[in-house]
Amino acid sequence: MESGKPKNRSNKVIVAVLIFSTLVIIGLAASVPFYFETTTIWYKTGLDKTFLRFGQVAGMIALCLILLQIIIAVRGAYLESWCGVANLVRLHQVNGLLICLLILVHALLILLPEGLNNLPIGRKYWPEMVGGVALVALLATTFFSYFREALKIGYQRWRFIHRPLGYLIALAVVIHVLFVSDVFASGVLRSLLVSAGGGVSLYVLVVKTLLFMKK
Amino acid sequence: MKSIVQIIMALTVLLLFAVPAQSAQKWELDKAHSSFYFNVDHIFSKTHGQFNDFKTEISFDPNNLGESSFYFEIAVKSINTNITKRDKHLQSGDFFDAGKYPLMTFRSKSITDAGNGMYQVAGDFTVKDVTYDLTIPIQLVGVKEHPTAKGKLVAGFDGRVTLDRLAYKVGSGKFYELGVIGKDVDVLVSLEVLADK
Repeated sequence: MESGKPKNRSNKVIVAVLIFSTLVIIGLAASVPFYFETTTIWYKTGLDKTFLRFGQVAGMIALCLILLQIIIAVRGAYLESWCGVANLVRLHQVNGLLICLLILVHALLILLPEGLNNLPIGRKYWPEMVGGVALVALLATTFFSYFREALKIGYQRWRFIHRPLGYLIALAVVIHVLFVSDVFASGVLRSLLVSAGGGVSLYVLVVKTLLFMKK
Repeated sequence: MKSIVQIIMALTVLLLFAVPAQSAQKWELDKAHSSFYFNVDHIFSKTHGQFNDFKTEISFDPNNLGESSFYFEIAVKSINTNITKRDKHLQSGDFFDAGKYPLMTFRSKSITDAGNGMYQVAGDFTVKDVTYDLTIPIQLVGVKEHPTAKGKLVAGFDGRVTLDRLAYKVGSGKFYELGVIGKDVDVLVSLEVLADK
């Protein structure tokens, strides 16, 4: 395993730029529920409106972190040399926990205004249910990752499930957002999300292809 | 001899009264061609919707209104306005609170002939577990042999009523006061029912 810390000054600058760019993207994503109000926001008042809006903010941040999580997991030679493998692994673990927390907050704050006895279950609520499945899968994969050794699950066996499940969760989350929210139904936000999803997919493809060619 | 005749006559009279009154024709719902529609004002436009899950128990004979009856049961969760988010909002505590009050029912208590195929159907309307008196004017659109199902009769009923949703606590009135959603809901009960000939 490579050293955990960036080796030189130029690497530190690159890491700082990467962190700053990520924070800017997350900040912009978090502002979406304020600048692109969904029609559901229009019909909520008082505390319900606040819950719904901050539920959407949590969801938007989680979406960014999930896409980032894929990049961190796939790594790639440049990212490894800039950040160090140990740092990326640690970041992957912390980011996973943060995503779980945000997704739970998102689900709770979105569902509370409509009532917890009024859950969106059924075929016509399929985008919400895709999000629900992603939430369960995310919690499960995080639980088994953190307690893998305690549960005596072998590394290879765990990774065999963890890796494809991670991609599937990211895909499910993107589909959930594209179809659950009316502000993502068309226009600039839809284009941006499709581009971001496509970009991450392309990154995975390039890194995996280069790795395959290297072998 | 005279007393025997009197006994036989008395028994005959008793038997005649013992025969139950002719019950009204029972009609089975043709669900594919029936619905409970509604529309309500939204600022300047009208929002249309319907309930997709409901059942009915209908006994109807225009010549025997005393034995005729209507019972409607509507699953509130089946509300459909073609926008799932709006449906979920209508099911929430802001309106129907479907999780707590899953059904709306109407059970007739009396039916009176208002002429020209119109009937005033008075009964108990239960919404959010509170029962109110409600009279629905229902028109018998027609009765005839079913054109495609042999051996079946088909009848049509149209009921139109305007309900003040706030009187039934369907909404607190905040959206009405904001001038967003009207309080009067036009309801159309359109039923096609079938019976064996």
